[in-house]
Amino acid sequence: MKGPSFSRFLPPFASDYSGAASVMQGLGAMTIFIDPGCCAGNYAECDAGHEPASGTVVSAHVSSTDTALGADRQIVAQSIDFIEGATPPLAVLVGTPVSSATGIDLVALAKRIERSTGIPVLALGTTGFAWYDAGVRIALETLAARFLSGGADDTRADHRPRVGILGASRFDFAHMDEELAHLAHRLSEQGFEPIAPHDIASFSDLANADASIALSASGVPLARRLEREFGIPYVVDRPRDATMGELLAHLDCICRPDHAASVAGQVSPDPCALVRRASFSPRAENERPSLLVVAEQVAGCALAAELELCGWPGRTQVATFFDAADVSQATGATVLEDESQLASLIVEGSFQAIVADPLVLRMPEAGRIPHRFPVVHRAISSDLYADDARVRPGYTDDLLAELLNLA
Amino acid sequence: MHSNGPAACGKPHTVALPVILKAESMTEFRYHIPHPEHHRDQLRIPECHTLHACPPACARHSALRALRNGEGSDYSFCFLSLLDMALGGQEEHIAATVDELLERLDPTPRAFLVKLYCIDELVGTDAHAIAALLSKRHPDIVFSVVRSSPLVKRGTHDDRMQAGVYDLLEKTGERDWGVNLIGRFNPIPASSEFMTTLGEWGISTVRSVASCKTFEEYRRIADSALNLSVSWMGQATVLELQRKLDIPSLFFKPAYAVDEVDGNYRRLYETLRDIEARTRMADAPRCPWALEPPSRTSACHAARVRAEQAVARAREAIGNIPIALDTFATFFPFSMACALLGYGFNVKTVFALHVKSDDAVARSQLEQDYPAVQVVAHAKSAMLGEGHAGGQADVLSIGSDAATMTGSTMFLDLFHDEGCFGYDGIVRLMDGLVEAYENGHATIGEEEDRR
Repeated sequence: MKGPSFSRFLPPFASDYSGAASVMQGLGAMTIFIDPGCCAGNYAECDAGHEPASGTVVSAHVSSTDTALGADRQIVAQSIDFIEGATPPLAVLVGTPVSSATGIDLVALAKRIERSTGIPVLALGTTGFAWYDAGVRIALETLAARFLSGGADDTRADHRPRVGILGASRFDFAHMDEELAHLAHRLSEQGFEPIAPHDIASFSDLANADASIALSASGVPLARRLEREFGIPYVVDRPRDATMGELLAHLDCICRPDHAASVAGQVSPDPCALVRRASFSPRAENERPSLLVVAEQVAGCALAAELELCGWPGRTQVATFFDAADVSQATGATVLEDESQLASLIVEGSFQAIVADPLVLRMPEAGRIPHRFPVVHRAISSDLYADDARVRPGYTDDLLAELLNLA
Repeated sequence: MHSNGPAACGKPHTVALPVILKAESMTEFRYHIPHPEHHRDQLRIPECHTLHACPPACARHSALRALRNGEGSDYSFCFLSLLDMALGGQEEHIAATVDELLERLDPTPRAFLVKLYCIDELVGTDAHAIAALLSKRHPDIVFSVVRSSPLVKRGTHDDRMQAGVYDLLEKTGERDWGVNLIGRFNPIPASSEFMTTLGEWGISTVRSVASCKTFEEYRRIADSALNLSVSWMGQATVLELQRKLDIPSLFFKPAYAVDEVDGNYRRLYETLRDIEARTRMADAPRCPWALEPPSRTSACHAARVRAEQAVARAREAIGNIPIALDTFATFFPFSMACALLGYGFNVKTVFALHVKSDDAVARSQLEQDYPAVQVVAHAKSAMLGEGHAGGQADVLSIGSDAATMTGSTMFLDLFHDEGCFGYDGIVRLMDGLVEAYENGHATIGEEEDRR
């Protein structure tokens, strides 16, 4: 049996319960952690961000006695009390290591609470034993199972093609609200109507979209579900301004078949075509500079694709710690289980440059790569580098320029 | 509270410490109220490495705090899976991880802490077995395996906020005239009269983990004559050290009433005098102390005068503005409320959302003498409806719970009494109140000290 993984330089990443809570807070839910106190604290202190969120966070503060004797009655009674006091549009019970180890049946409790309050209550099967991307995926899938029913709204006055935006989270976006607003603006300019879920109604509306964009690996399972159940095609991309044209062309092709005829043949039917990476093989002796990008895989692959478009002559390998959605085969990213695998990859890859979170760059192996470019990934370093001018908040134009200069 | 005069040598004497609050062992839902960012020190033993053995979700805040404080290289993490927990054998897994770590760490640490989390309470991880395994394999290193779990009942052995930090102390056979400060994450503020007062009494050795630079310095904490618990967090620890190291102890409660601070110094004086007397009786080397009652100690007396002047200034500046305070600002909110009311301030509300310390006497006094003061024990849903209670903009809030709950526009940011100690603490509190009243915001704390 493989023993536990071990980390000398990297901190614990944002957990699945943080990922799930972040999605739910974004929809205005009351988020109830079934924890002794520290899980909600972990989320609030490290991962909730400082931007005001519409939902409230509650910790159950379960005690040792109650975990031994059964905390169900207290959880139900106090959830009802809190929910009836605040009347949120939605409430969720968030699983933690304590609830998973003691086998608290959150689904049954959620049903009892909902019956009593009349307010939708969801149970999230997070455990605290996985990373944030698993939590984002669990939250989206739980919401989808409950709130996606489809049925086009014929009374809608706006007849522009609608595009659902999936999988955005504060863990992958340094300035999520601004970046989403910019994407929505570009879509609107191009004649699309963006749907960015911010409440239950807009989430439900995703089933009425004409296309979806999965902005992260966590959004891909929901995109696939929308395609499977509602016939909504999707594309996987994390566009920047320079690559927005290609994304919009894809969406045109999907949403406007007539218009698409003019670009037929230019757009691949593969949803991951915009970010797919060729499998990496160790570079040949005289090959051009090779680059390692350690990141959320859709973001990393999109960067690599853009570099290729700009004429980057070397090889680029994208590696990620986050593949709970099991999409790495589609994106071509390399999945890392722990710090030691990353160390081995770096040693074996003989890279000339690395783009990664500053905490990844603390590893001695990373320190031996000649060119190092720190870019924040909040799932790793939270807001530790928010005020550090040497660390980029995302993949900026000047980062690309510096990388291309290496070639 | 009165000390019975613990001895520096010979048989240990029991000391009347306040009873630690026995919290109801019941699940109790609480809102998380957003707080402003604060610098948070972590107590660390010099030349010691810590391994957090936990599910991947846990310890993120500890790791990020350590990194923020520039101490990231002192910590490592061993991520246990649910399968590891279910199948057992995590003791051996953890020990194997420590073995691997020790091969890599350069220099080799003098001491090693393994920190377990709540889940280990539930699956019964054997902390003693881990410590025994490790001590056998690495006899030159001192090991301790500690639990950090909010699941445990308050007041029990394992409920020590700074669990593990003092566990590596052992009797050295030496005893000197040092005084230990237990329960703080950082040294006493430089502006406090405390060190000068002790200096006047002839006490030049004041020890705390936060000020130790080497493991040897840390070990000498066990040589001191007195453990002074200077925070709620130190109370369980000093009792444990009294049992383990025969060091008598005293609680120097964080206080904001001039008379209460005076009482702290008087009890300290009496306790030290008692130690001195017992030492003479035991024919030990003559004590270097030159004890005088606090009223005749110039540093102490001058500080008291400064505190009284600060109170008068603040009263005049603030007038009858309503004040709300909370358990985020101070571990002793009812004591602070009584102190402020005693000075004539208009305290309206105490938000006691996270009571940790035993402040029951002050609470009774508050309820009896000032029945109009509202005590809010739970954040109510309606108050937080949109994240803010609002509607009380004219309140001067001490602590961020109070600021959020009232929606006040005057906020004194004080966090767990940090930055306040002794008479100097009263001066800082009063100056902070005036600044918050005049400018809308003020901060007291270690960050301020660093500036």
